[in-house]
Amino acid sequence: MVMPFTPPALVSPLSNTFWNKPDDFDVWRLPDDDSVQKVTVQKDTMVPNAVTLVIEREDHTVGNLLRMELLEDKEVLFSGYRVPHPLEPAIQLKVQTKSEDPGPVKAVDTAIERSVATLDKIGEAFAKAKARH
Amino acid sequence: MAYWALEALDGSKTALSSLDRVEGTDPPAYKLGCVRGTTTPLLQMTDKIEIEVKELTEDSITFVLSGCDTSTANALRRVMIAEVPTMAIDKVEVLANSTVLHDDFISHRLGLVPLFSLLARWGDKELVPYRHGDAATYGTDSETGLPLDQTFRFNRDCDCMTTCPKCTADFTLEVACNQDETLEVTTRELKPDQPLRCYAADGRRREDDGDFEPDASAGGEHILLVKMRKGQKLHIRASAQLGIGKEHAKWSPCCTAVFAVDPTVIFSEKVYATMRDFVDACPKKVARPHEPRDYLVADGANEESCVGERERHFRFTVESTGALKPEEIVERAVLKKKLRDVQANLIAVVDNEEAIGRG
Repeated sequence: MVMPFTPPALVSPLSNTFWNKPDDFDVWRLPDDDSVQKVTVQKDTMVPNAVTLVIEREDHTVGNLLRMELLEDKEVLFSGYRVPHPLEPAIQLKVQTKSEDPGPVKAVDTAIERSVATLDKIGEAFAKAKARH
Repeated sequence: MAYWALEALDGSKTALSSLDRVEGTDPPAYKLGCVRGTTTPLLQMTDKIEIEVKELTEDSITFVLSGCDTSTANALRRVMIAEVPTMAIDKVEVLANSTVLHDDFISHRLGLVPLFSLLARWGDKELVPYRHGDAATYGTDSETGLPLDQTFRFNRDCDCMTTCPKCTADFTLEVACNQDETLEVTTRELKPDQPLRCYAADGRRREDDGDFEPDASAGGEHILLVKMRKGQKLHIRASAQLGIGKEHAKWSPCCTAVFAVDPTVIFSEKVYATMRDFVDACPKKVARPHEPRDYLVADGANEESCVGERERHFRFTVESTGALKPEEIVERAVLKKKLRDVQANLIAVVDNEEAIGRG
Protein backbone atom coordinates (compact mmCIF):
# COMPACT_ATOMS: atom_id res chain seq x y z
CA MET A 1 0.00 0.00 0.00
CA VAL A 2 1.36 3.40 -0.95
CA MET A 3 1.03 5.99 1.77
CA PRO A 4 -0.09 9.39 0.54
CA PHE A 5 2.59 12.05 0.95
CA THR A 6 1.75 14.51 3.68
CA PRO A 7 4.10 17.45 3.98
CA PRO A 8 5.34 18.22 7.50
CA ALA A 9 3.88 21.22 9.29
CA LEU A 10 5.20 24.63 8.34
CA VAL A 11 7.91 25.96 10.60
CA SER A 12 6.27 29.33 10.67
CA PRO A 13 3.26 30.60 8.78
CA LEU A 14 5.35 33.07 6.81
CA SER A 15 8.02 30.65 5.70
CA ASN A 16 7.39 28.27 2.87
CA THR A 17 9.94 25.73 4.00
CA PHE A 18 8.90 22.15 4.54
CA TRP A 19 11.70 21.00 6.78
CA ASN A 20 12.38 21.47 10.45
CA LYS A 21 15.47 23.62 9.99
CA PRO A 22 15.32 26.63 12.30
CA ASP A 23 14.86 29.97 10.58
CA ASP A 24 18.11 31.72 9.79
CA PHE A 25 17.22 34.73 11.90
CA ASP A 26 16.79 32.49 14.96
CA VAL A 27 20.48 32.97 15.67
CA TRP A 28 19.95 36.53 16.74
CA ARG A 29 16.25 37.13 17.15
CA LEU A 30 13.97 35.88 19.91
CA PRO A 31 10.85 34.05 18.71
CA ASP A 32 7.77 36.22 18.33
CA ASP A 33 5.69 34.03 20.65
CA ASP A 34 7.71 34.91 23.80
CA SER A 35 8.57 31.24 24.27
CA VAL A 36 12.18 32.13 25.01
CA GLN A 37 13.25 34.59 27.68
CA LYS A 38 16.20 36.83 26.92
CA VAL A 39 17.70 36.37 30.37
CA THR A 40 17.09 33.64 32.94
CA VAL A 41 18.68 33.61 36.38
CA GLN A 42 19.59 30.35 38.08
CA LYS A 43 20.79 30.60 41.67
CA ASP A 44 23.74 28.37 42.47
CA THR A 45 22.73 25.95 45.23
CA MET A 46 26.25 24.94 46.19
CA VAL A 47 28.04 28.27 46.35
CA PRO A 48 26.90 31.39 48.21
CA ASN A 49 26.14 34.60 46.29
CA ALA A 50 26.51 32.94 42.92
CA VAL A 51 24.19 32.83 39.92
CA THR A 52 24.29 31.52 36.41
CA LEU A 53 22.67 33.80 33.88
CA VAL A 54 21.54 32.26 30.64
CA ILE A 55 21.48 35.02 28.04
CA GLU A 56 19.67 33.97 24.88
CA ARG A 57 20.66 35.05 21.39
CA GLU A 58 24.01 36.43 22.49
CA ASP A 59 27.56 35.22 21.91
CA HIS A 60 31.19 36.00 22.76
CA THR A 61 30.60 39.68 21.95
CA VAL A 62 28.52 40.29 25.05
CA GLY A 63 29.83 37.32 27.03
CA ASN A 64 33.46 38.33 27.09
CA LEU A 65 32.64 42.01 27.46
CA LEU A 66 30.57 41.38 30.59
CA ARG A 67 33.03 38.88 32.00
CA MET A 68 35.94 41.30 31.80
CA GLU A 69 33.84 44.15 33.07
CA LEU A 70 32.75 42.05 36.07
CA LEU A 71 36.35 41.16 36.85
CA GLU A 72 37.10 44.86 37.22
CA ASP A 73 34.68 44.92 40.14
CA LYS A 74 36.30 44.43 43.53
CA GLU A 75 33.13 42.86 44.89
CA VAL A 76 33.18 40.09 42.30
CA LEU A 77 34.95 36.90 43.34
CA PHE A 78 34.40 34.96 40.15
CA SER A 79 33.00 35.59 36.74
CA GLY A 80 33.19 33.45 33.66
CA TYR A 81 31.14 32.69 30.58
CA ARG A 82 30.81 29.91 28.09
CA VAL A 83 28.92 29.03 24.97
CA PRO A 84 27.46 25.63 25.92
CA HIS A 85 26.86 24.52 22.35
CA PRO A 86 28.01 26.13 19.09
CA LEU A 87 24.68 25.55 17.41
CA GLU A 88 22.63 27.06 20.22
CA PRO A 89 22.69 30.86 20.21
CA ALA A 90 22.94 31.33 23.99
CA ILE A 91 25.64 31.97 26.57
CA GLN A 92 25.97 31.15 30.24
CA LEU A 93 27.48 33.75 32.53
CA LYS A 94 28.52 32.65 36.02
CA VAL A 95 29.05 35.34 38.65
CA GLN A 96 29.93 35.10 42.30
CA THR A 97 30.25 38.10 44.61
CA LYS A 98 31.86 38.47 48.01
CA SER A 99 28.65 39.36 49.76
CA GLU A 100 24.89 39.46 49.31
CA ASP A 101 24.91 43.17 48.76
CA PRO A 102 25.83 43.86 46.04
CA GLY A 103 24.75 40.42 44.90
CA PRO A 104 25.73 38.87 41.58
CA VAL A 105 22.72 40.22 39.68
CA LYS A 106 23.42 43.71 40.94
CA ALA A 107 27.05 43.25 39.92
CA VAL A 108 26.03 42.34 36.38
CA ASP A 109 23.70 45.32 36.29
CA THR A 110 26.48 47.72 37.28
CA ALA A 111 28.89 46.00 34.89
CA ILE A 112 26.47 46.70 32.04
CA GLU A 113 26.14 50.26 33.26
CA ARG A 114 29.90 50.70 33.21
CA SER A 115 30.22 49.10 29.78
CA VAL A 116 27.59 51.45 28.41
CA ALA A 117 29.47 54.39 29.96
CA THR A 118 32.66 53.20 28.25
CA LEU A 119 30.88 52.82 24.93
CA ASP A 120 29.38 56.29 25.35
CA LYS A 121 32.89 57.62 25.79
CA ILE A 122 34.04 55.71 22.71
CA GLY A 123 31.18 57.14 20.68
CA GLU A 124 31.98 60.69 21.80
CA ALA A 125 35.69 60.22 21.27
CA PHE A 126 35.08 58.90 17.78
CA ALA A 127 32.86 61.82 16.85
CA LYS A 128 35.54 64.23 18.06
CA ALA A 129 38.31 62.32 16.30
CA LYS A 130 36.33 62.37 13.06
CA ALA A 131 35.76 66.10 13.33
CA ARG A 132 39.46 66.66 14.04
CA HIS A 133 40.54 64.58 11.05
CA MET B 1 66.90 47.22 38.78
CA ALA B 2 65.66 50.15 36.83
CA TYR B 3 63.93 49.74 33.51
CA TRP B 4 63.21 52.04 30.69
CA ALA B 5 60.66 51.67 28.05
CA LEU B 6 60.85 52.22 24.35
CA GLU B 7 57.73 52.43 22.30
CA ALA B 8 58.55 50.76 19.04
CA LEU B 9 55.85 52.34 16.91
CA ASP B 10 54.01 55.60 17.04
CA GLY B 11 56.13 56.65 19.95
CA SER B 12 56.21 60.37 19.33
CA LYS B 13 53.69 62.06 21.57
CA THR B 14 52.28 59.16 23.46
CA ALA B 15 55.55 57.48 24.31
CA LEU B 16 55.40 55.60 27.59
CA SER B 17 51.76 56.40 28.06
CA SER B 18 51.00 52.79 28.83
CA LEU B 19 53.57 52.88 31.58
CA ASP B 20 52.42 56.25 32.86
CA ARG B 21 49.01 54.76 33.25
CA VAL B 22 50.20 52.23 35.81
CA GLU B 23 51.81 54.84 38.03
CA GLY B 24 50.75 55.32 41.62
CA THR B 25 48.73 52.69 43.41
CA ASP B 26 47.98 50.58 40.37
CA PRO B 27 48.80 46.88 40.59
CA PRO B 28 51.51 45.37 38.43
CA ALA B 29 49.75 45.49 35.14
CA TYR B 30 52.85 44.27 33.36
CA LYS B 31 53.45 41.26 35.56
CA LEU B 32 52.80 38.18 33.52
CA GLY B 33 49.96 36.05 34.71
CA CYS B 34 48.92 38.50 37.35
CA VAL B 35 45.39 38.33 38.64
CA ARG B 36 43.29 40.88 36.86
CA GLY B 37 41.35 43.30 38.91
CA THR B 38 42.41 46.85 39.38
CA THR B 39 41.88 49.11 42.31
CA THR B 40 41.18 52.00 39.97
CA PRO B 41 37.45 52.53 39.52
CA LEU B 42 36.61 51.89 35.91
CA LEU B 43 34.76 55.13 35.43
CA GLN B 44 38.01 56.95 36.08
CA MET B 45 39.78 54.81 33.56
CA THR B 46 37.22 55.48 30.87
CA ASP B 47 38.12 59.14 31.12
CA LYS B 48 41.27 58.24 29.27
CA ILE B 49 39.57 56.76 26.23
CA GLU B 50 41.10 58.34 23.20
CA ILE B 51 40.55 57.85 19.50
CA GLU B 52 42.70 59.17 16.75
CA VAL B 53 41.65 58.78 13.15
CA LYS B 54 44.78 58.08 11.15
CA GLU B 55 43.30 57.70 7.71
CA LEU B 56 39.84 58.07 6.28
CA THR B 57 38.98 57.33 2.68
CA GLU B 58 35.78 56.62 0.80
CA ASP B 59 35.90 52.94 1.67
CA SER B 60 38.25 52.47 4.60
CA ILE B 61 39.18 53.94 7.93
CA THR B 62 42.19 53.44 10.19
CA PHE B 63 42.04 54.66 13.75
CA VAL B 64 43.70 54.07 17.08
CA LEU B 65 41.50 53.35 20.07
CA SER B 66 43.26 53.59 23.39
CA GLY B 67 42.23 53.40 27.02
CA CYS B 68 39.71 50.57 26.84
CA ASP B 69 39.91 46.87 27.53
CA THR B 70 40.63 44.26 24.87
CA SER B 71 37.16 42.82 25.39
CA THR B 72 35.59 46.16 24.48
CA ALA B 73 37.75 46.52 21.40
CA ASN B 74 36.91 42.98 20.36
CA ALA B 75 33.20 43.52 20.96
CA LEU B 76 33.34 46.55 18.68
CA ARG B 77 35.09 44.54 16.01
CA ARG B 78 32.65 41.67 16.25
CA VAL B 79 29.65 43.97 16.07
CA MET B 80 31.06 45.75 13.02
CA ILE B 81 31.35 42.44 11.20
CA ALA B 82 28.19 40.70 12.28
CA GLU B 83 25.65 43.04 13.80
CA VAL B 84 25.51 46.33 11.94
CA PRO B 85 22.30 46.13 9.92
CA THR B 86 22.36 46.78 6.20
CA MET B 87 20.11 46.10 3.22
CA ALA B 88 20.70 43.12 0.95
CA ILE B 89 18.65 41.33 -1.65
CA ASP B 90 16.92 38.47 0.12
CA LYS B 91 14.06 37.35 -2.09
CA VAL B 92 14.29 36.99 -5.86
CA GLU B 93 11.53 36.30 -8.31
CA VAL B 94 12.82 35.05 -11.66
CA LEU B 95 10.30 35.82 -14.38
CA ALA B 96 12.50 34.85 -17.31
CA ASN B 97 15.99 33.47 -17.48
CA SER B 98 17.55 31.95 -20.57
CA THR B 99 21.12 32.81 -19.66
CA VAL B 100 23.77 30.18 -19.00
CA LEU B 101 23.62 30.76 -15.27
CA HIS B 102 20.73 29.07 -13.55
CA ASP B 103 18.23 30.94 -11.38
CA ASP B 104 19.80 30.04 -8.03
CA PHE B 105 23.21 31.14 -9.19
CA ILE B 106 21.97 34.56 -10.27
CA SER B 107 19.90 34.92 -7.10
CA HIS B 108 22.97 34.23 -5.02
CA ARG B 109 25.01 36.78 -6.96
CA LEU B 110 22.27 39.36 -6.52
CA GLY B 111 22.19 38.70 -2.79
CA LEU B 112 25.88 39.51 -2.50
CA VAL B 113 25.59 42.89 -4.22
CA PRO B 114 26.25 45.55 -1.56
CA LEU B 115 23.34 47.98 -1.29
CA PHE B 116 23.84 51.45 0.05
CA SER B 117 21.18 52.79 2.36
CA LEU B 118 21.51 55.22 5.21
CA LEU B 119 18.08 54.09 6.36
CA ALA B 120 19.20 50.60 7.34
CA ARG B 121 19.18 50.92 11.11
CA TRP B 122 17.93 49.38 14.30
CA GLY B 123 14.53 50.76 15.23
CA ASP B 124 12.12 52.54 12.97
CA LYS B 125 11.36 55.59 15.09
CA GLU B 126 14.63 57.28 14.49
CA LEU B 127 14.59 59.77 11.65
CA VAL B 128 17.81 60.18 9.77
CA PRO B 129 18.88 62.11 6.71
CA TYR B 130 18.48 59.90 3.68
CA ARG B 131 21.65 61.06 2.14
CA HIS B 132 24.78 62.76 3.31
CA GLY B 133 24.77 66.46 3.92
CA ASP B 134 21.06 66.89 3.35
CA ALA B 135 19.31 67.05 6.66
CA ALA B 136 17.12 70.07 5.97
CA THR B 137 14.54 68.96 3.44
CA TYR B 138 13.30 65.44 3.42
CA GLY B 139 10.04 65.39 1.53
CA THR B 140 8.36 62.18 0.53
CA ASP B 141 9.21 59.52 -1.97
CA SER B 142 7.01 60.06 -5.01
CA GLU B 143 6.86 56.33 -5.72
CA THR B 144 5.82 55.08 -2.30
CA GLY B 145 4.54 58.19 -0.53
CA LEU B 146 6.86 57.39 2.37
CA PRO B 147 8.87 60.07 4.11
CA LEU B 148 12.41 59.85 2.81
CA ASP B 149 13.81 59.75 6.31
CA GLN B 150 11.75 56.73 7.36
CA THR B 151 14.21 54.02 8.30
CA PHE B 152 13.68 50.48 7.03
CA ARG B 153 12.13 48.00 9.43
CA PHE B 154 12.97 44.39 9.82
CA ASN B 155 10.58 42.43 7.67
CA ARG B 156 9.57 40.37 10.70
CA ASP B 157 8.80 43.49 12.72
CA CYS B 158 6.77 45.15 9.98
CA ASP B 159 2.99 45.19 10.19
CA CYS B 160 2.57 44.22 6.54
CA MET B 161 1.53 40.70 5.55
CA THR B 162 4.46 39.85 3.29
CA THR B 163 6.39 42.86 2.09
CA CYS B 164 5.83 46.61 1.87
CA PRO B 165 7.99 49.65 1.12
CA LYS B 166 8.54 50.19 4.84
CA CYS B 167 10.53 46.99 5.16
CA THR B 168 11.50 46.13 1.59
CA ALA B 169 13.20 47.89 -1.29
CA ASP B 170 12.39 46.31 -4.63
CA PHE B 171 14.64 46.10 -7.66
CA THR B 172 13.90 45.19 -11.26
CA LEU B 173 16.33 43.74 -13.76
CA GLU B 174 15.10 43.30 -17.30
CA VAL B 175 17.62 42.70 -20.06
CA ALA B 176 17.45 41.08 -23.48
CA CYS B 177 20.49 40.62 -25.66
CA ASN B 178 19.91 41.59 -29.28
CA GLN B 179 23.49 42.13 -30.31
CA ASP B 180 26.10 39.80 -31.76
CA GLU B 181 28.70 40.63 -29.13
CA THR B 182 28.55 39.31 -25.60
CA LEU B 183 26.42 41.52 -23.37
CA GLU B 184 27.58 42.12 -19.83
CA VAL B 185 24.71 42.53 -17.41
CA THR B 186 25.80 44.61 -14.45
CA THR B 187 24.21 46.39 -11.51
CA ARG B 188 23.61 49.30 -13.90
CA GLU B 189 20.54 47.37 -15.04
CA LEU B 190 19.43 46.73 -11.47
CA LYS B 191 16.80 49.47 -11.21
CA PRO B 192 15.71 50.39 -7.69
CA ASP B 193 12.05 51.14 -7.04
CA GLN B 194 13.10 53.47 -4.24
CA PRO B 195 16.23 55.01 -5.76
CA LEU B 196 16.66 57.57 -3.00
CA ARG B 197 16.39 55.15 -0.13
CA CYS B 198 18.35 52.12 -1.29
CA TYR B 199 20.52 51.40 -4.31
CA ALA B 200 23.39 49.21 -5.39
CA ALA B 201 26.65 50.48 -3.91
CA ASP B 202 28.66 50.04 -7.07
CA GLY B 203 30.73 53.13 -6.72
CA ARG B 204 28.35 55.67 -8.18
CA ARG B 205 28.49 59.11 -6.69
CA ARG B 206 26.38 58.80 -3.59
CA GLU B 207 25.75 62.49 -3.05
CA ASP B 208 24.15 62.91 -6.42
CA ASP B 209 21.16 60.62 -6.72
CA GLY B 210 20.50 61.57 -10.30
CA ASP B 211 23.84 60.18 -11.39
CA PHE B 212 23.75 56.48 -12.05
CA GLU B 213 27.27 56.20 -13.38
CA PRO B 214 30.08 55.01 -11.14
CA ASP B 215 32.75 57.49 -10.21
CA ALA B 216 35.63 55.88 -12.07
CA SER B 217 38.12 58.27 -10.52
CA ALA B 218 37.22 56.79 -7.14
CA GLY B 219 37.60 53.26 -8.44
CA GLY B 220 33.88 52.86 -9.03
CA GLU B 221 32.65 50.18 -11.37
CA HIS B 222 29.33 48.45 -11.93
CA ILE B 223 29.25 44.93 -10.58
CA LEU B 224 29.04 42.18 -13.17
CA LEU B 225 26.12 39.81 -12.65
CA VAL B 226 25.99 37.64 -15.79
CA LYS B 227 27.09 37.63 -19.43
CA MET B 228 24.58 37.02 -22.23
CA ARG B 229 24.71 36.07 -25.89
CA LYS B 230 22.30 36.99 -28.64
CA GLY B 231 18.72 35.93 -28.05
CA GLN B 232 19.01 35.38 -24.31
CA LYS B 233 16.72 37.09 -21.84
CA LEU B 234 16.71 37.89 -18.17
CA HIS B 235 13.83 39.36 -16.19
CA ILE B 236 14.05 39.43 -12.42
CA ARG B 237 12.30 41.14 -9.54
CA ALA B 238 14.36 41.25 -6.38
CA SER B 239 13.47 42.39 -2.86
CA ALA B 240 16.09 43.82 -0.57
CA GLN B 241 15.47 43.59 3.15
CA LEU B 242 17.17 44.61 6.35
CA GLY B 243 19.39 42.04 8.03
CA ILE B 244 22.61 41.49 9.94
CA GLY B 245 25.82 39.65 9.10
CA LYS B 246 25.16 37.05 11.78
CA GLU B 247 22.34 35.68 9.67
CA HIS B 248 24.16 35.83 6.35
CA ALA B 249 27.46 37.44 5.38
CA LYS B 250 25.74 39.39 2.59
CA TRP B 251 24.43 41.75 5.29
CA SER B 252 27.87 42.44 6.69
CA PRO B 253 28.98 46.00 5.89
CA CYS B 254 32.68 45.19 6.33
CA CYS B 255 35.23 43.65 4.05
CA THR B 256 37.76 43.83 6.84
CA ALA B 257 37.45 44.79 10.48
CA VAL B 258 40.62 44.06 12.39
CA PHE B 259 42.61 45.51 15.22
CA ALA B 260 46.29 45.10 15.92
CA VAL B 261 48.24 45.69 19.10
CA ASP B 262 51.44 47.71 19.06
CA PRO B 263 54.49 46.24 20.80
CA THR B 264 56.21 47.73 23.83
CA VAL B 265 59.92 47.15 24.30
CA ILE B 266 61.29 47.30 27.81
CA PHE B 267 65.08 47.39 28.35
CA SER B 268 67.06 46.73 31.47
CA GLU B 269 69.31 49.49 32.73
CA LYS B 270 72.35 47.65 31.42
CA VAL B 271 71.04 47.33 27.92
CA TYR B 272 69.72 50.85 27.99
CA ALA B 273 73.17 52.12 28.92
CA THR B 274 74.74 50.41 25.95
CA MET B 275 72.05 51.75 23.64
CA ARG B 276 71.93 55.25 25.03
CA ASP B 277 73.56 56.84 21.98
CA PHE B 278 71.14 55.08 19.71
CA VAL B 279 68.16 56.06 21.84
CA ASP B 280 69.26 59.66 22.20
CA ALA B 281 69.79 59.94 18.48
CA CYS B 282 66.11 59.35 17.88
CA PRO B 283 64.61 62.71 16.86
CA LYS B 284 61.22 61.69 18.23
CA LYS B 285 62.64 60.83 21.64
CA VAL B 286 60.71 57.58 21.87
CA ALA B 287 62.64 56.53 24.97
CA ARG B 288 63.41 58.44 28.09
CA PRO B 289 64.56 57.45 31.57
CA HIS B 290 61.76 56.21 33.71
CA GLU B 291 61.24 55.71 37.43
CA PRO B 292 62.46 52.35 38.68
CA ARG B 293 59.60 49.93 39.07
CA ASP B 294 59.94 46.78 41.05
CA TYR B 295 57.08 45.04 39.36
CA LEU B 296 58.69 45.40 36.00
CA VAL B 297 61.52 43.29 37.33
CA ALA B 298 59.00 40.63 38.15
CA ASP B 299 57.83 40.80 34.58
CA GLY B 300 61.09 40.17 32.84
CA ALA B 301 62.89 38.65 35.86
CA ASN B 302 66.42 38.08 34.59
CA GLU B 303 65.92 39.21 31.05
CA GLU B 304 67.71 42.17 29.67
CA SER B 305 64.90 43.25 27.46
CA CYS B 306 61.45 42.05 26.73
CA VAL B 307 58.86 42.79 24.13
CA GLY B 308 55.30 43.02 25.31
CA GLU B 309 51.99 44.16 23.99
CA ARG B 310 51.14 47.76 24.41
CA GLU B 311 48.15 47.57 26.70
CA ARG B 312 44.87 49.29 26.02
CA HIS B 313 45.97 50.50 22.60
CA PHE B 314 44.33 49.12 19.47
CA ARG B 315 44.98 50.01 15.87
CA PHE B 316 41.76 49.37 13.96
CA THR B 317 41.38 48.99 10.23
CA VAL B 318 37.86 48.85 8.83
CA GLU B 319 37.05 48.49 5.17
CA SER B 320 33.53 48.92 3.88
CA THR B 321 31.82 46.87 1.19
CA GLY B 322 30.15 50.09 0.12
CA ALA B 323 26.97 49.35 2.05
CA LEU B 324 27.85 52.05 4.55
CA LYS B 325 30.54 54.67 4.82
CA PRO B 326 33.42 53.28 6.89
CA GLU B 327 33.07 55.85 9.65
CA GLU B 328 29.40 55.00 9.90
CA ILE B 329 30.17 51.33 10.43
CA VAL B 330 32.20 52.31 13.46
CA GLU B 331 29.56 54.71 14.75
CA ARG B 332 26.83 52.12 14.42
CA ALA B 333 28.91 49.38 16.03
CA VAL B 334 28.72 50.98 19.46
CA LEU B 335 26.73 48.16 21.00
CA LYS B 336 24.87 50.04 23.70
CA LYS B 337 21.50 48.79 22.50
CA LYS B 338 22.49 45.14 22.92
CA LEU B 339 23.66 45.73 26.46
CA ARG B 340 20.61 47.78 27.38
CA ASP B 341 18.47 44.97 26.05
CA VAL B 342 20.17 42.43 28.32
CA GLN B 343 19.99 44.83 31.25
CA ALA B 344 16.28 45.55 30.84
CA ASN B 345 15.51 41.84 30.67
CA LEU B 346 17.72 41.10 33.66
CA ILE B 347 15.94 43.69 35.76
CA ALA B 348 12.56 42.44 34.57
CA VAL B 349 13.38 38.84 35.48
CA VAL B 350 14.67 39.73 38.92
CA ASP B 351 11.72 42.01 39.68
CA ASN B 352 9.39 39.26 38.58
CA GLU B 353 11.06 36.70 40.82
CA GLU B 354 10.98 39.04 43.76
CA ALA B 355 7.29 39.64 43.20
CA ILE B 356 6.65 35.91 43.12
CA GLY B 357 8.72 35.46 46.29
CA ARG B 358 6.73 38.09 48.16
CA GLY B 359 3.41 36.69 46.98
